[in-house]
Amino acid sequence: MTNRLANVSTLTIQRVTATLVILIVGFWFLAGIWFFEFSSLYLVFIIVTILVVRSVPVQPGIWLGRRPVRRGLVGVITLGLVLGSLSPYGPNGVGAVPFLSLILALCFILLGRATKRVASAPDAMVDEREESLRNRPHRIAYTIFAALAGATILVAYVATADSRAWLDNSLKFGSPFITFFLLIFFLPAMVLAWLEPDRPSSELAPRLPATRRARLAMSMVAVALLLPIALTLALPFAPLRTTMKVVAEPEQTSAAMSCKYFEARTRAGFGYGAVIPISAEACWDGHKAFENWGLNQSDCHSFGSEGTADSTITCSRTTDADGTLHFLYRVRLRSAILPFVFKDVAMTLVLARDGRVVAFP
Amino acid sequence: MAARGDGNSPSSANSKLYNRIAVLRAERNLSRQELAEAVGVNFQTIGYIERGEYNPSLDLAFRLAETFGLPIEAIFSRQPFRPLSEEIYRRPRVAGEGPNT
Repeated sequence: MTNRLANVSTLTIQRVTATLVILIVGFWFLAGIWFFEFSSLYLVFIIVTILVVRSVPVQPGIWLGRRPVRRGLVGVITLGLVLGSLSPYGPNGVGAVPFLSLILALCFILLGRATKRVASAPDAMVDEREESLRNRPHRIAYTIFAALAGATILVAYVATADSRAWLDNSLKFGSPFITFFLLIFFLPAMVLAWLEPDRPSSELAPRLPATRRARLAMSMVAVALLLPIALTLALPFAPLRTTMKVVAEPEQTSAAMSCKYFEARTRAGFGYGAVIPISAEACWDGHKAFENWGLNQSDCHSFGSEGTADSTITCSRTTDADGTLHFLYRVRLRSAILPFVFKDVAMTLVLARDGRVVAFP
Repeated sequence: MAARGDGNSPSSANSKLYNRIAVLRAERNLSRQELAEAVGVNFQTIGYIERGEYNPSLDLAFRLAETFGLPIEAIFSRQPFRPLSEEIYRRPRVAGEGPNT
């Protein structure tokens, strides 16, 4: 690409794109999606990585210069988007979507290299031929996007209550929304990669020198791709971090019985994991210990789950013959990216009939 | 002067522009990259123009003409160019006459 001063326009593709991103992220924020700490940081890191990667000039090279390879890449991306749209998943669900996201991220990076990012290049970075090359895919992509959106609305409109269950689930969990969001940004590049003819071998650009920024961009891409996998693999080995407190409850204490408030939180995993809590009040009267509140089936749930799905293995409360109260909450945290990776966490409360805390948590 | 982006990909044989850029480049010992830098375009664009797959805008055509120090009609034509040797000698080829006669 060539650096040239072009006529400065107030309405550029970049400004429209930036406004769109701010609006969408803003709505996400307002919708409450921006509440997971690690996910938020990771999203910020991804955005910074995209900015750094985009600032480095690229050449497609021999391999990505071939049209069959580029068309294959577009096919993989399309398949990934279709599978991602159809996979029902929830915030805590186990699904292929996180794994698909990683594959798609890698494909989008390759797509950017294959098309030299001409599809979204600013005017100052393209010459007149590249400008016409950039504008044509946008025209075609608009038609495709409009057709897809129209078809989706049509299906949603004509589907019956029974037949639209898959659509309801799909819309509820937001995957078509993410697909359309991705298409807004990448469909022109996909069209360009599909249409652009093979480059003559004499025009294959020489390998670009590895600048410091290029190395930084590559490192950031590697971190962005490997971090979720590394954090997932760390889930079974990361030490559990537990905070707890036991507080006497004078308001509940009488001559006949005494009570204590038990609170414990065990955090499993780094970045990807969950918090398993106990928050309960238990009492004793000398004959037996018993639950006042917080030790029921409905209290067995984790929170703050990121990249994992939790399933309760055991949630039981029993009282021994000698009056000792036993509560066991055992949960399995399974990675959403690599479902064969999991971690079992157990929380216990054993309270003797004389108020002695035998085990907690 | 035409604005940038007024060039186009020839959609039919009628809209094709013939050019001598490859020959002129070879005469001046210029690579595509060097010529591209001189006129401010991507080096691949030079290749597209040389092959007749892209018709440059008037602005770019003038820049190419200035770079080679030739009038535009010496570089671009609606008709296929005759070989430069024939242009120089201004002599129509006679049947049976060899190239070195």
